[in-house]
Amino acid sequence: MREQSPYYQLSSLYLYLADQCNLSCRHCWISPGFSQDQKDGIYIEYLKKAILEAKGLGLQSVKLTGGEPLLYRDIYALLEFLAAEEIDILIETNGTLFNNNILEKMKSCNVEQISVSLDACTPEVHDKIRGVKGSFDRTIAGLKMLAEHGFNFQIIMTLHRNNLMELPGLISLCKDLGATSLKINPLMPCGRGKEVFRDRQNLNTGELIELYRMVEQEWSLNMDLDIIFDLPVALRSITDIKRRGIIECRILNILGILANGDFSICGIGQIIDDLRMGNLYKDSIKDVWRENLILAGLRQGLPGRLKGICGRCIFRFQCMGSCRANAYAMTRDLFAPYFLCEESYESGLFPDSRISR
Amino acid sequence: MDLRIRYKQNKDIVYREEDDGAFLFDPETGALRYMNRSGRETFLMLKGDKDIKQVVDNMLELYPEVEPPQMQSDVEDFLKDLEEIHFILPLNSK
Repeated sequence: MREQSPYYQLSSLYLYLADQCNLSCRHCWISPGFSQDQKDGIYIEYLKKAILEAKGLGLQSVKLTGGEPLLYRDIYALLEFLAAEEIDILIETNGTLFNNNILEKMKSCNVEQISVSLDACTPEVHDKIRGVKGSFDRTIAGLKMLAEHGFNFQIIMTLHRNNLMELPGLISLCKDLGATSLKINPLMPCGRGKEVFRDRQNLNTGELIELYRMVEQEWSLNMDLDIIFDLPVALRSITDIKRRGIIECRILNILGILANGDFSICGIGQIIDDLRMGNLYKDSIKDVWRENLILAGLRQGLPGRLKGICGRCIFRFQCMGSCRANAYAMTRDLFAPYFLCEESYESGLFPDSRISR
Repeated sequence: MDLRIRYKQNKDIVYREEDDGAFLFDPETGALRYMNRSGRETFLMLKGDKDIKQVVDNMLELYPEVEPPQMQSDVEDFLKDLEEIHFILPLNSK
């Protein structure tokens, strides 16, 4: 038996700095409001206090996301603070707001990882998905600036039925732009993504697995670009697992802070009130981390209480049911099976070799 | 290495064969060892209750082009690695 430790390290904070975004993506899983203007977002002095307290809980990295994190009015001050505290900085952005000043600041603050969303290799398709005309050109300009400033960066594509044919061109574009990796994300049926599912613009599990195999066997070979197809580990090939390892959400070691200061397990609290747990302005992050009942329930229940195929999967101790936020958004049950794995099991596509006997 | 040692698979470890190879996996720790064809053959011979010497001899029959000292060294390294991570356990060590 594995020893159960009462102590869980808070390795990473996900900061949803702005609940607004200057794009309006059809699939966004946390549905931020639309705004082109800078926003106050989280009051930085409280944020700094929480980050310092979180260091005592083992904090090593902070992911800056949103909405669009570069709309956050205090982004410069936050980057400086994190760098001074020697905390690894990861940024997820749509890349439309880069300029020399912010890139120089990011460089001087040793930003560890930058991920930029780009859904197509043509303006028409990208702009339609992102909901704002001209966003493709602005993102491409931003990516070129990143490369000029010597950053390593990842491009993230969210897969819809109507950008599927863009994938080969997008792979070439990523190489041309100097990206180190392309991450392909299946759609999530929560937030605005629910409507995309309703319109049947998502790929079903069988199509996703087929595309994953094609990417792995044909498009990933002999390429400088690392292509990461974000399927749950149980649906990935053993060759891929050997190469890349088991990469899953470390749900027991992360905490989200929303733009209004609410804590949540990630950004899901933005659309599901049940998963908000205290607020930065009145609660101590240490108390929330140690005493909150949602977190305690997750620690007690993962992976033992996972239902459906997730409870029988040999990877359950590492995968923890892939995305618990999405499972809750779909079923109001934190231990419901992950929809892609359950669907693949029901349709006979879940590998027998990955099921406990 | 004592060539008379026999090993058994740790019962907590999962062994699986798939189209693109076989693997041993510890569900609780996440430790994983991918096995190519010869690794898989070696592992299956252990399950057949053979000692290391018998495994090496059998592997030489399958791969006559490999020099015996090289085969013995490869088999020993492979088994040492599996033993270190407790995927296999020695049955006797006289």
